[in-house]
Amino acid sequence: MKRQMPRFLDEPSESEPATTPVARQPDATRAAPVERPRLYEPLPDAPDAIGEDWRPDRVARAPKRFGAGWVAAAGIALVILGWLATTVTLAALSSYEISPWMGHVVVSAYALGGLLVLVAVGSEWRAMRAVRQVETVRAALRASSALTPSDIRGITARWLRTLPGRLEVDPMVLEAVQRAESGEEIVAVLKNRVAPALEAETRRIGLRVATEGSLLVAISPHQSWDGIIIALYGLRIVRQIAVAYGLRPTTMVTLVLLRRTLRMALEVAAVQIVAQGAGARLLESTPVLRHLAGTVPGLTTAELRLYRLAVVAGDACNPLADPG
Amino acid sequence: MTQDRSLGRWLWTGVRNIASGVSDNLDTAFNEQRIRLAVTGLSRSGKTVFITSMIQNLIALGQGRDTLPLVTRRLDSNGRSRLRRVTIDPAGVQTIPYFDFQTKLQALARADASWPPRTEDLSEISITLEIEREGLGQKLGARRVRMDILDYPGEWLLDLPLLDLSHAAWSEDTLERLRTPDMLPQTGKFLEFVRGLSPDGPVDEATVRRGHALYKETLSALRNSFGLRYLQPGRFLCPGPFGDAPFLWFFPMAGTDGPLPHGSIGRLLLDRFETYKREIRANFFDTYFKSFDRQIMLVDVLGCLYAGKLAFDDTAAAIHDLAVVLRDGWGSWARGRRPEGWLSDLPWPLSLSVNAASYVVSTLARNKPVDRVAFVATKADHVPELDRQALKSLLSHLAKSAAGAIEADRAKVSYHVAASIRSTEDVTLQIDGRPMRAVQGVLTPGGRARPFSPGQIPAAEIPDYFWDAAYFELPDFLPPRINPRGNEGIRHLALDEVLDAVIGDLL
Repeated sequence: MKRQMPRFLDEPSESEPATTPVARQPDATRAAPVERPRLYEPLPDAPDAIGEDWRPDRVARAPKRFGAGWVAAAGIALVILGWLATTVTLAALSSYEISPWMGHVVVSAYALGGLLVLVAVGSEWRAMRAVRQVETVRAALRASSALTPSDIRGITARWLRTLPGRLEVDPMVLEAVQRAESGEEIVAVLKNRVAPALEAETRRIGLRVATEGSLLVAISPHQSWDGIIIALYGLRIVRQIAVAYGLRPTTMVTLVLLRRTLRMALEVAAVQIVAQGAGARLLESTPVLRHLAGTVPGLTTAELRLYRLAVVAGDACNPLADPG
Repeated sequence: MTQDRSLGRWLWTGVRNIASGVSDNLDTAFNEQRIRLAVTGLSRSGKTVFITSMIQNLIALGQGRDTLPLVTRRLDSNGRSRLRRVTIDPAGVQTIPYFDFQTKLQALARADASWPPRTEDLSEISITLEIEREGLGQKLGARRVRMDILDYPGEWLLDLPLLDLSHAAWSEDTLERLRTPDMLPQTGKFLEFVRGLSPDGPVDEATVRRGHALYKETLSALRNSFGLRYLQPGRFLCPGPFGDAPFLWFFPMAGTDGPLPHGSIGRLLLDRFETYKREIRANFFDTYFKSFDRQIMLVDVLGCLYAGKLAFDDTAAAIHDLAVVLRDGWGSWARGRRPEGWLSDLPWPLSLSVNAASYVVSTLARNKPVDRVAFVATKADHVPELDRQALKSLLSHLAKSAAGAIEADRAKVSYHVAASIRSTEDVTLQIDGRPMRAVQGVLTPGGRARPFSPGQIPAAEIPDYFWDAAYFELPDFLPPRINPRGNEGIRHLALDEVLDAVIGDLL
């Protein structure tokens, strides 16, 4: 805006000629000798919208700081990688000293090994991305009131398309999600039309593996084997549930899912204590059960533990599951 | 088996809830700072828009957009922002309705955007700012600043000064005000009606209801014709959940201070007035106004300036009374006015001891007075840049007496001119060949921007001749285009200045 400079009105300025001030007659509608508020007609270049230039700058954020544990882990990793690289290099050089052919063979073997490691890392990365997608959907559905419906639609549609075979979503559901006008509506569609199938699949896998595992426990020759059988079948449940939900059960994914089911381990322990207490009382008072218990020891508890593990593993893979 | 599972689940849920409760409480004690922010103001001062814009701009700031430059500067650490994210807390089990931020934002962001309608009921929202610590504290991780923000009809706030008055005192003040010569065309009918009534006369329900209806009509007429805001009782203009309950059927009437016979009109009006005070105190002030840490007082200075002397003086009186009442926080105010009840009937040695103990307890448990108060002249986007200082001076002149009382309590008071949503831009007009500063904004959907000059804005004491001109209604420019996704915030004017003054020390 150009600044208006002070001047006498009978002296010319840069932009205006000199004028002779004339005393004005009082205006009937503007009785007060003050300038009143007023709306004017649009200027020739008047825009039809205001605020089009509003584009706030980006703010650089403070980088996430790593704790002492991460620094130590990075140091250890560096030491191991350094040692590995030195060993490999020295070994390759030594091989070349024996004969060039020997050197080529050793380097090729190392290169092939390295390539396989890279392939495995890539595979893990893709698998972990799928797990993160589940978390993204879960977070989006929890904060449905803070996101726009189109954002939630995009996130959930991407996830729904990853569900495999048996759980493949009816196109009508996808359409209903696309038609939904609010985040709450999308959540309602998913909870009513997708969640039941996911939960049923979890129950199916849980019951099947739990029955197999508990039968193995029943016929195991020694009690010390029970724990190993339960642990192996627990792992099997987690991997089967992951496959059922369209996740690749790689080592990292299995570890992540196992970590998420850590709480489940505590829950299983609590249930076990209660089940053992209640079971003991029941067995003492029922002769038929006392007889059966002698033939299939540990059956009920093992089955229950595996089934509960399946339910929580399903919750870990299912973004529609209610926490807790 | 099923029973065992249920018992196990019940046990586990109990253990987990206890552990989770302990963990949450520890986390809150170490990492969370909670403040209650009172966004107060008379009706149509822009509280709802202010809250919506503030939240949206903070969310955008949390997403890495510099929507609030002064707040960004506060959060700066070696050229980088310490703000990790800003989130709206999910609705819990609170009894207050939830402030529907998304719906309000989407209404403003639509192609046919419009300003929010009058707030008819109260609502609350909480937002959390997650901020990195500085210095050695970095190793402790991020801390959280949680703000509870209350939105409510401005009319309800005006009942606050009323709680100190008896029906007789309130009637005397109100009737005297209604007799102001300029108001007589609107108030004459009611004054004539009430003059014909005797407080000792027998109750006639039809007459009382007629008086109540006439008084309500008078209040509406004063609001619409003169732009008055200081109209009591507030629930007559915005009843909220009370609806049209019988205890609201009263009106001001002279002569209710003496002894009144049972079954008289005066007694009925007095009883209803006392019930009204009790109800609004129990259902609004005691419940929701318990304590505030920070206060933002929004004032539509331009609106009342253009509405004439009556409206301007009315607004000044309202601001003064409200600011004085709220300066210590409602809890402190309420304790000072607690009815004595049965304690005063005890024998004197006992009542003295109980009163002394009560004094010690109330002193120890005294609410912290409001730390910071920001007076904000809203709709400042209707004023070109160079004239905003005059508007700010006028605001400080208007709030001077109230601010003095607050500052005496060592609260930090600041004055601002701001627009929660800036719907204009500055332009220069050529009027009679002379340049003139103005603003321009769009008035109707699809229309072109029209320039607006706010005229001369007095910076302090307003001379009488200023009021000679015809009244003027502030034009309602349409909101600018808003991105509802939240990553660009909302165009505003000096909102960051207000936030920096009110919560800057917490960041």
